[in-house]
Amino acid sequence: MRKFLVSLLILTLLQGVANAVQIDFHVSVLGDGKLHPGDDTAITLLIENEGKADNFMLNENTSQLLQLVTTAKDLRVEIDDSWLPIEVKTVNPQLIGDLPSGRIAKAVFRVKVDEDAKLGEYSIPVRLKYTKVTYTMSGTNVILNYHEDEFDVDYLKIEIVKKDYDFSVKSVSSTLKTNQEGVVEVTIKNTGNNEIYDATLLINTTPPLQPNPKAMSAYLGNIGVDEEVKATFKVYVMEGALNNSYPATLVLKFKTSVGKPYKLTQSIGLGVEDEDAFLIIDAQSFITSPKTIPKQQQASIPSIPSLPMFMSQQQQSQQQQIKQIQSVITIPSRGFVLLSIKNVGKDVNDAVAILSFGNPLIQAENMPYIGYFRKNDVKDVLFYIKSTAPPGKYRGVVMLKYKNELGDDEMSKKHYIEVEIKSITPLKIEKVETENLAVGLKGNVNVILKNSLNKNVHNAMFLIISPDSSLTPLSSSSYLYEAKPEESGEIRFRLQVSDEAVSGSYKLYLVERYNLGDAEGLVSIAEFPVIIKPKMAYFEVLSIESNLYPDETGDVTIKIKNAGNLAIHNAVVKLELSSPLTIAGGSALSSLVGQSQPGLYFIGTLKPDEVAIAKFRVDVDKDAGAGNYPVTIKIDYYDDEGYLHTSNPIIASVEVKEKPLITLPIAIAILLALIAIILATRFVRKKRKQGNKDKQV
Amino acid sequence: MKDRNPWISVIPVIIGVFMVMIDVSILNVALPRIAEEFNATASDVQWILNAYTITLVVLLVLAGKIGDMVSRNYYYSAGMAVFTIGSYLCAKSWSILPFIAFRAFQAIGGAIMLGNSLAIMVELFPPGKRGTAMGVNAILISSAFSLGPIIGGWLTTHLSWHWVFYINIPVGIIGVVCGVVLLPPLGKKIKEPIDFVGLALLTIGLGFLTLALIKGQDWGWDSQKTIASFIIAFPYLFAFIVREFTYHHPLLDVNLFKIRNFSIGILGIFFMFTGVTAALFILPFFLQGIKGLTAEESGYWLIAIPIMNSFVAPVAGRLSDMINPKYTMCIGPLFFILGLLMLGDVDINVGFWEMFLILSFLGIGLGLVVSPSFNVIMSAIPPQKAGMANGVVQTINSLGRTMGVAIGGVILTGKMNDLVPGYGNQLPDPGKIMMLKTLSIRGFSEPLVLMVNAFMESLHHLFVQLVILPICSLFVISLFLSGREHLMRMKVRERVVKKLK
Repeated sequence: MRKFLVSLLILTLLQGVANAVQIDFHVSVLGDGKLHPGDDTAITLLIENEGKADNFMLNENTSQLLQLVTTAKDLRVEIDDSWLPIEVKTVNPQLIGDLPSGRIAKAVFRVKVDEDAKLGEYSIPVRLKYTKVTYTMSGTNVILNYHEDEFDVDYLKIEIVKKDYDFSVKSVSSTLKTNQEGVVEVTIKNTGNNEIYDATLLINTTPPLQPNPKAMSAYLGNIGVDEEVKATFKVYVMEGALNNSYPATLVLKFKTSVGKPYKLTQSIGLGVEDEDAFLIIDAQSFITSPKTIPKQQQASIPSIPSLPMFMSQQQQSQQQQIKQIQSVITIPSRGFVLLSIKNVGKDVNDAVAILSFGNPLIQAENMPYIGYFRKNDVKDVLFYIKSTAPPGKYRGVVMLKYKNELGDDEMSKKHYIEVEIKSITPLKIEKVETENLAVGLKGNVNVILKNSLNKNVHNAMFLIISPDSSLTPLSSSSYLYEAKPEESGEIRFRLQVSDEAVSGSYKLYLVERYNLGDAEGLVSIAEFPVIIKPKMAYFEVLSIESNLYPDETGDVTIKIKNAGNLAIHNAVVKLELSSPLTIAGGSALSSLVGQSQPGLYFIGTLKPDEVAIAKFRVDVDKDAGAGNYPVTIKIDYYDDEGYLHTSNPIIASVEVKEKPLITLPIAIAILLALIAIILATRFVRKKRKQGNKDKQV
Repeated sequence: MKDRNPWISVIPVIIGVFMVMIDVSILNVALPRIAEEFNATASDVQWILNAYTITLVVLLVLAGKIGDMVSRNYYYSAGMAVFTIGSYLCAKSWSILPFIAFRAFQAIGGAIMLGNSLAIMVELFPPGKRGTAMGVNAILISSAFSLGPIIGGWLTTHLSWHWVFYINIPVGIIGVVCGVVLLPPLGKKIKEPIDFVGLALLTIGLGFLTLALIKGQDWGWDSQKTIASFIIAFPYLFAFIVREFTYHHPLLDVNLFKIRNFSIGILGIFFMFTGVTAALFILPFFLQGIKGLTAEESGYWLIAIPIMNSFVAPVAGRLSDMINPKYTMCIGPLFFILGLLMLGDVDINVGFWEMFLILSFLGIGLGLVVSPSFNVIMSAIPPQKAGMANGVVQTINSLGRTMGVAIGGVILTGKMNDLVPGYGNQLPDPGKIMMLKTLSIRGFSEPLVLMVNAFMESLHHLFVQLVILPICSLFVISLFLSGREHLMRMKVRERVVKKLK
């Protein structure tokens, strides 16, 4: 028991030596310690260690312990913001480290003062945690003891006061939509201590927001303390904006009571809606490809005369060279795009549809006016498209421009449509026939067109263009009133082929201008080849004479003129007949084969402008009535180079007359026979007279 | 004159007759080439043939009459010279119209030669030896018709169409020289004016008759032209006959027809020539059209007629001097009838030798009739009218040949029309058959079968119908010809000749 009591005494003594050291802190704020509601600012705390060691026996053994035991080791500072209108934004607590006695440490805290913080003084508790060192003497030895989690609380004095000049944003309302200009309405409040004068509020944005220069600032005048004012701005939302909130800055410019200019800023967020008010329900297009036509022109180009003073006029004129100049012209096509647009947004006024293309070779000629466009209405808009683009698919951009309820112009969101340029034409060229189209001649080109669409094509006008100067259209235009689907029509042109033209294939262009449905004046260009024949014979039937009677074989005499420019050789005229006429002698084969055989008549060589006569014997059926019957005349011939040709058929008619009692040949024959009989009678009389004379003698 | 061997003297006559007769048929083969060179029309081409035939027929009587009035040996040589010059001009023609004109000119020479050939033979050969000479003449006439296409085809194929005429030039020159050298002086028999009115009437009458017969097939037999031609022809021939009866110096002494053997002889060979011409006109259509032979080949197939005629005609002619010519002249039509009946049953697949045998009957029949007939005819008339008689004989023979063509065409096409309604009056030429063959190759053989069957049936029908002609010949010869009179006349002439010697 005695041992126990001794030990207890010793410990008590030791304890008594140790308790003599005391660490204390003093905390203060750097500056005036004033904060403003809504401030987001940093405050700097100054922390002083006021540690003391009473009754500390200082000797050679303890002299070095004095600093150790008065130092607050591992000091950590924490602001207790609970129940206070401030919020510490930085790390809390902050580590200061070892703070020896008499030293001052700094700790910086970023705090946010509540907007609605009550003005006044606040004692903010600052907790200080540290480790304290103690010692005990054991003989000459010193034993150190570390006491963690020692803490101290000090109170910091701050005051929340208003700023001299400040404002806050009370509300932001906006109706911003992509590709549209929207209104932003802002309500601000003068939260400063003083009234502000000549205030102007501006809004600054970054893309995709773009303030309207005419409505990006609002003059607010004088704003008293705690007074709220409203400002309205217009902001355009560029293409590509998302359903998102985009930052904007409000800048409040004003003057102080002493007239000093002042500027305050506040950031706000502006929400954007990416919705469109219009839908394209249906899109139809019909655009054909343009044509690039090589154009040949003749130009007289004078060459540079070397010594003109020594040259005669003739020589000078010879130096004028006629040159063929090749140029290229592009005939644009004209088509249409028909859109059905539905308004799914609000009613709008003065709506105009706009169609544009990324490719500059395609252009919309018009911007159809829709006018008042009621919600849920569907409108058809027709665009006329002029195109010089090659066949293919292209992207078109459709937008609607309209006035909103405020009377401001707004643009709808972009809508993309596919537009195809086709290489076909609505009136497809089915067949091209040429007549007498040969070198040096005037001939016809008959084009048979077929409506390949399922719509009526009407009021079609055609223009034929020849890129080659050797072919000159004499009758270059034609007209077709209407062509129903799958219906064919024929148009004719007349061309002159120059003497210098080379026979062969030439390309002609047919410009078609037509109405298709409601679309008027559409233009398509087709091309087709024509064969220019070499110099050829062209025949004209000058006359047909016939003496045909029912149930008789008669003559048909055809007078044919070579009206072409080519001498023909070994020409054979073919006469094709139909019932009740048959070629005499040809009925043999016809009756065997069951097909009418043509009559042939050899006329040999026939030079240009020469006339030949072909004769045929024709059988007329006994049941044939008097009248004109059609015949077809063709001429087979060889040209100078020995090539065989067949002329185009020439339709003519021959007349079958009522059989007379006595025809001219029979009448002449009877007359001649009478002469013979008269002569015979005279011979007999003469002989009788001679006999009588002889008797008398 | 009398000392010369008549067989040597007759050489220029043989040459001349052969040239003239062969020129009738030799040109048919060359016509397409001529038409091609001159760019001639079908009508022009037909007139190349017509100009020759019509001129020949029209001038034969006049040529014979003139032969009686001039030295016939020189006259004949001149005719041959005209013919040769005409041939040369034809070969050198520059266009179709001169060509037609030169053909007519050539025919003038031909008429002189053909119209006097028999007369010269009569003068050259004494009675009793004329039969053989007439046989030679008959050979020439019948063989020329068959050999023409063969020679013409060869010349045109291997040389050119010009050689159809050039070939006449050396032959003609030789003929003229022979005529001048070999022909004895054949003096003038009569001296009287030429009846130009009668000549005009005969020319118009014969011209239109020939024209109608030639073109009837082409124009149509019921056509106004054909009918008008006949309406003109017969009154003028009638007027000519009246003129000849009433005129003092007739072109044609119609009293010759009062000589029975003259008239019957002419009638007999007229029927025979009509028959053989009809057969020879139609057979090439069978050979070339149905059997597909060329013109040259078809000429070879018909060669049996001239060959057999060559053998038989001289013998028959010689026999007519010795025995009653009525016998041979009656046997001839029987052979001819047999040949026609065999042709009337000819098969489409007939071979060359079978055809040769059949045609031999025709050749024999012809030879047995023609050469004795010539002998009988020329012996029946007074020597001074031999030329005139010769002209009449040749004219009627030519008309007979022309009618043969017309009759053959009419009967054949008539039957064809019965079998193929609406067939018309055209003969089945090789071109038409070729077209039908082409159709047949393409699967449409019905027309060809119909055509061949109809043609063969029509051919059989034609030859059976043609039997009437030799029967007529047999009828007139057997009933009206006086063989004894001929023999007596021959004997009298022989005595006269012997006395003169």
